[in-house]
Amino acid sequence: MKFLINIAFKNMFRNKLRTIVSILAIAFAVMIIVFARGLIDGMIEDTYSLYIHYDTGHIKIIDQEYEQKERLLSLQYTVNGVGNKSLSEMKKELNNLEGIKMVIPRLKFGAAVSTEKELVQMLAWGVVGEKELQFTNLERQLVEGRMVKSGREVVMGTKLLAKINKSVGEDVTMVYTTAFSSFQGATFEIVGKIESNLPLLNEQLVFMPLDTAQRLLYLNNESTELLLVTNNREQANEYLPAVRNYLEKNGGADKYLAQSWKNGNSFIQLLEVSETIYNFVYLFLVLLSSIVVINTLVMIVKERTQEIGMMSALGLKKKEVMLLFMLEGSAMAVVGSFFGALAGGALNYYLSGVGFDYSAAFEDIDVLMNPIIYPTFKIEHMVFAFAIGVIVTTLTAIIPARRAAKLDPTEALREI
Amino acid sequence: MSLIKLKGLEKTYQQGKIAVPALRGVDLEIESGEFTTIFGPSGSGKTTLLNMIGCLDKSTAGEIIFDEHSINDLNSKELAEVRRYNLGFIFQSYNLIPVLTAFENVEFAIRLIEKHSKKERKNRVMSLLEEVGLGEMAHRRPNELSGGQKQRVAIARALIKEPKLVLADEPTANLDSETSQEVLELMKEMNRELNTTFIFSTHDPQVMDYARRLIEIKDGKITNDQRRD
Amino acid sequence: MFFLKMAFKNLTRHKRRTLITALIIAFAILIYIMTEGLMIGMTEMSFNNIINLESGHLQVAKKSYWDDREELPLDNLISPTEELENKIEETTGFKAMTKRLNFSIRLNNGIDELPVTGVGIDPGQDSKVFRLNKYLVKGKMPRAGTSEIIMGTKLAELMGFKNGDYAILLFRTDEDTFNTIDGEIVGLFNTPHPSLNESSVFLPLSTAQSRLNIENKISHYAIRLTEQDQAIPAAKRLNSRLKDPYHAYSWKDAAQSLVTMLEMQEIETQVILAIILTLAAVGIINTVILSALERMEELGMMKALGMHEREIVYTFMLEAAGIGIIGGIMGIIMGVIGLAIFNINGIDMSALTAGGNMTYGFPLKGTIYAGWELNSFIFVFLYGFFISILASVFPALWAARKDPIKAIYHR
Repeated sequence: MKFLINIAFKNMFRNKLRTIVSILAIAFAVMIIVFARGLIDGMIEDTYSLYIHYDTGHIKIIDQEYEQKERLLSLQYTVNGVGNKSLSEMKKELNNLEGIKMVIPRLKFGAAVSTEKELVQMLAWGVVGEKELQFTNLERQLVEGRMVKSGREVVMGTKLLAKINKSVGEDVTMVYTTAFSSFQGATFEIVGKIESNLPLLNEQLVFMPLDTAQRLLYLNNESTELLLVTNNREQANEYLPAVRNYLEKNGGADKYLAQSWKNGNSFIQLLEVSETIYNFVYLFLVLLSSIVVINTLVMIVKERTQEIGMMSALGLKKKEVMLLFMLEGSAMAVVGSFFGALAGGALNYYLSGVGFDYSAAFEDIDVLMNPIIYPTFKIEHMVFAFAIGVIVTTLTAIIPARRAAKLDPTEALREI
Repeated sequence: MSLIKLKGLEKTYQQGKIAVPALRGVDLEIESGEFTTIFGPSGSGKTTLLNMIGCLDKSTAGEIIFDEHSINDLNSKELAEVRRYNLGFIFQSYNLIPVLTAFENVEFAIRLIEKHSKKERKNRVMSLLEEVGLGEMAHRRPNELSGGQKQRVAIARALIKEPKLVLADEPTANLDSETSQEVLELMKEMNRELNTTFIFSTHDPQVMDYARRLIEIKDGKITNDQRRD
Repeated sequence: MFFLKMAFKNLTRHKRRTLITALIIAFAILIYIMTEGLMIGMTEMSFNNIINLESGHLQVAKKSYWDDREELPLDNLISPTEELENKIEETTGFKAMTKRLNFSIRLNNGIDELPVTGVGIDPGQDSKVFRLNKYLVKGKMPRAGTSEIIMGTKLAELMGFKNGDYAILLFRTDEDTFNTIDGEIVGLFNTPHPSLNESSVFLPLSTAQSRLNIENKISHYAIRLTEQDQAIPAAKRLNSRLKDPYHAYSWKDAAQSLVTMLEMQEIETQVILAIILTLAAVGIINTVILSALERMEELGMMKALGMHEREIVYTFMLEAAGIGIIGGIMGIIMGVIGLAIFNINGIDMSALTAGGNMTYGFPLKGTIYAGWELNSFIFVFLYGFFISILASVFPALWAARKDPIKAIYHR
């Protein structure tokens, strides 16, 4: 085996140009794979965390009816405790469950601000400011002022502020419909401004303290949803049974729906499916590039017919002849994949700082996605692409290698 | 005790739709330690016969008994085993592996056997290369060697595993007469020293002079078989 | 001619190699044709939906209104005049026009409220321009002068409305006061335009105008022409006759964000095509090098016989062109078969979104069909062809420059 490797390696240098072209083909495909994975990973990672932060948490608890009416921002189906326990008790007990790091209540409702020209619709979230800062990346996007704490104060996005023509420090009057369907208004002080690429944060959301929202809407100690945060999003499914068990034990299984982030949104499921599809696309790409290697090996086999004859006269078995040529193919694959992975890594490393602006394409899509995608630079992508390059090319090298093994030694010797 | 016994050996090649007979019933016995030449005009079936004896090809009819064993029913893997342990080959066009040095080319043959340690292997290869007069050239590649030197490497490669039989297909055809004689002397010397059986084909009378047994073949049949001592 | 013949014969020397190299090009073309076909299909359907349900072929509005139209403002509206309408009717290819008024409303079912778009339509004229009436699944269109409304089944479901129920429409009038309409739901529609189904309520124009206190003002005219292709030139011509502040917009202006999105998608498809064709180029380079290596002695002989370097380069380039053509033809055949398979059953949009309700921003839903465009076939064929030739230049030069004597005794 070792001496076969040795010969295969030396054979690679017999015609350098030919070898280099084959190596280039593999390197190019592997580089594209590293890049594509980096880009897609950058997009998906970002999207996952946006969904977790601003939609699903790791585990989301809502009223079962609320799932259908979420778009309405209905206040009729709230999370208001379980059994005879109040929301505060429920939160405390959920927080004590194993693996649950944080329990975040949100009270979502529709609101509007009347300007001279029109009525600006917005999405109001009653939140516990401190917890939001801890859980999300809002702190970095808070470009002016501070997060809401308590009382009549709000924080909103830059574009939304521009729309209502206000700035931080000013007061704003908002109208809303309470849980009892009465149309009311209240005045708040704008204490902070958020600047984000995400349209939701920039032009739709207004944050206010949870207790203020509860008082205004007559929803004391109620929220529209509870988000549970675990240590690691991949473990969300592990802790889900305990949460469901808790709801069941307290008689809340019929009322509430507890969902892991993976099932919480069809877009996330779509992304997971497309991740698998992309892996096949990569495979296909390497297959195309290994055509070049096959062509080269076929020629090599032809060129070395006599040599193969001599080797089998010396007693090299068919299997070993085949192995010899496969090894030559995989030697090219290793070198090509190595340089391809390095080049792809370098490309991602560079682009992870620059990013791609997709704003124009995402304008009308109602999904949570950062319109500027930054490819991620991860060793993992390089290892993956390297492995797929080496394995696929080596496997396809079987085709010409079998041809070599099938050669009849006498025929092989005759051809000069 | 005969090393090789051929009984009614026939071989027909299929060329397109025409069947071309290469051997038409060959009976032959070769004893251990012989130094034999097979000669005849080109197309007479020399190479085919050599290939048969060398377990490289299968006969259409007849039997080949090598070292008391019939090889008719062996598959390609088993044939490769027979070649690996018992046979050495020397080719007209040397057939050295161009990317390996002389040393490595010779070593290649015993690496297939895998019964020697690395050190033992090295010693054996070096001493054999010295014996064929190439001790100095061990680390040169084939394209840095002359024709005679290449054929010496090929002889060393054939002999390194101490085979029972060495087959040589026109070993001197590409060499000038002086070098041919050197190479033949070397083969004869090896035959004496190691008692290795040699069979070689040729149509060069000078080469035939070295042989102790002359077998003439014409149109796929043995027409003459004489011994000289 | 001689070189052409030789190049062709050379291609047949290694049929398998020629074929599998051509296969890379064929795959690039296949993938391009399929994605492009899908995009063309989706685009055509989206545009049709926009034209038939949202914008008509042309729209005439005040420029100041158009820029803010997504905010559904109540200022910069048009007060219809005979003069303006006459000018519009004079447009060549004019078929019909209707008035529309878009405004912001909060739809209320007594418990919940949802911001939606209210669209005031002229019941007599609207169906001459739009196709909304074709998609009614229940009931009828609202009659003029009544408080009858229609909405999408999906919106009705969400709000818990049934046909015959009353819905409260809450809105702000021009004078900043709030007013309501108790709308009787007389019809439900299900169009292939998702956002229309989810967030639009249609009502008679006259009712909307009187409750909004805006007299007879409208937000725009929508116009249908006899031919869709005339829309853009017609808008141009109409604009030369319209006086400020009026302006005509074609459906393409109305679908501007979709057009931008399509452009982005197009770039992406091009990038993928370029990636695979680069691989194909490497394959071609490889093939030329291999052919040259195999034929070194032959090339030496040819040079010895007096063949020029340039002629050798041509032979190789022609050979590569041959591969490009074979790959192109295979790719187009495979692509056409692929598209045909697509279109026998159509593709369920929800299959593309893993069962989700996503539309990727396209105003369409349900089953989609791929489209054809001869231009994109020609484009991709030529692209593959030229890449093949281009890729062969350097290896061909390399082969041609080899010393003939060395070439004969190569190795």
